Amino acid sequence: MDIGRTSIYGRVAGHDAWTRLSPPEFVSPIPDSFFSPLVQHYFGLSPVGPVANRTRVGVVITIDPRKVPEEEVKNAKQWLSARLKESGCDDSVLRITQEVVTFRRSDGAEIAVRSENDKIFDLH
Amino acid sequence: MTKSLIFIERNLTIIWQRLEDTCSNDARSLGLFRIFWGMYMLLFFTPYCAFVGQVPQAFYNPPVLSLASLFPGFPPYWLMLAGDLVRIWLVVLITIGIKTRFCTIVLCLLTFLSENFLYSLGKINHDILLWAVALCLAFTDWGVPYALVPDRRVNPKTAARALATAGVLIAFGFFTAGFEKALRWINFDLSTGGFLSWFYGDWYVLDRRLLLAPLVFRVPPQLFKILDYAAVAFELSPFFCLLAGRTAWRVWLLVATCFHLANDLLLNIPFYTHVPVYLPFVAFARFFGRLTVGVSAANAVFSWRVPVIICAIILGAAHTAQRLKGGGSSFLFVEGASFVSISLYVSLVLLVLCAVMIAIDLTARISGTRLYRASSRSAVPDDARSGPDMADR
Repeated sequence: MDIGRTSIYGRVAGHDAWTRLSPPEFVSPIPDSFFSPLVQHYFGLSPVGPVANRTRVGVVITIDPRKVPEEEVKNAKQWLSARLKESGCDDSVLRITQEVVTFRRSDGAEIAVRSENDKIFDLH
Repeated sequence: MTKSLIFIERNLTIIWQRLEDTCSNDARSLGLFRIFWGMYMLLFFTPYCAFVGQVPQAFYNPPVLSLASLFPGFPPYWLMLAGDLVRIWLVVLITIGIKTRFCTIVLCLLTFLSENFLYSLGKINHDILLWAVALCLAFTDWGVPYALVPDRRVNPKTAARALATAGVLIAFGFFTAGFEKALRWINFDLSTGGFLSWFYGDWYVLDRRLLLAPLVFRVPPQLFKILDYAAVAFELSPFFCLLAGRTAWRVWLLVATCFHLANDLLLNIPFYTHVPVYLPFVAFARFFGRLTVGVSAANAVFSWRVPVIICAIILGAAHTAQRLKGGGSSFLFVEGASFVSISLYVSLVLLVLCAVMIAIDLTARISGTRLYRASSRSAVPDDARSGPDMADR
């Protein structure tokens, strides 16, 4: 079976390998229930296109997301950089990936992970 | 036209009367519940929004229809911290019973304001019911018995209407959630599942893999399809149970607690915030002696007033110290990522406690009703107001 997800990865310090970061640990003290909306907006680092919401009566309301000023992006990068350091990763780069996980239904084991959209953010 | 309006008015009066009969609780139980509520909040759901003043402004993504959308970003840390401290001490005052009504209203309004900014992280959470019910309780006598500075008593009709409103809000919250699910979950497509789609998301995205979650993979998916239907039926049913009467409503509350317990075990979502939502309808006085002790007598015999005051003040002071040091937590002072697992295990205990209390109350009520019916079969009661409902008050 397949399931889509958005994951965050940090580069293992001193190595050329990526490690998937635990959402609750990475965003703490922000409750982990806010992880998905935060990561879908790339933590405000990258502009997101207009969001279309279809109402029950079929009307589509398109909302332009808030434009994040450069100064705020800089602060967000510093915050994310500190989190990466706490996680034992290289604090200069963060990868946000939309991926498809193929798993075995009988025991939940992940058989394969296929990246569909990678965004790598330079935090310095 | 006039006849139609009179018809509607008359039916609404009957419905509200029915809701008031279903939801009413005695003042002594509400007074005891107030102390439980305060202690519960200070231990397990302490106001904590100060951290949003420390997260980057780039995360600011307020809901369109919210007060926060009128602001350019998160408020500064000192303002959120001050808001938290004020709310913590309001909870202490409510627990002790000083100006309870005023404190409850201010607490709820401040919380609605603070949570507007919390939800500006991109998602609206479920705890709104807790505050909506607390706001309703402000218009009952929960600040009268066992209070250091008791509130003035409210008109019994107002108190009954306030508790009925709390019941309607709970029912409305569940009904809207169930209606949304019914549109997507009720189908005969066995390849999709409501519960499973949540489960897989929690398992693979948020790494929620504790308690009984690993067992879900061993259960046939078809079984979860049946559970999807059951969940939708349960969430659509509260209005029927509210109108069916006191016993049906308490049965629904018990099922709701078990439903949250199952969510806790399988989905690892700790719904402990719903414990103070369900317990205002339980006759707390049943656990502390006779139900028929008057409010003035209850205040006179309240021997554990001093320990309650001391505990509440110590907890308030401990939270203040933690916040002033730059930390903070809403749950048992636990900071960091360990909060997730600890809250999950403790919430199991809290939900079981809630289920046991509702079950005892329900059992006592059912046996009281049986006794009443048996006695009314053998003799006509002298006092028409001495039914099982009256015995509970």
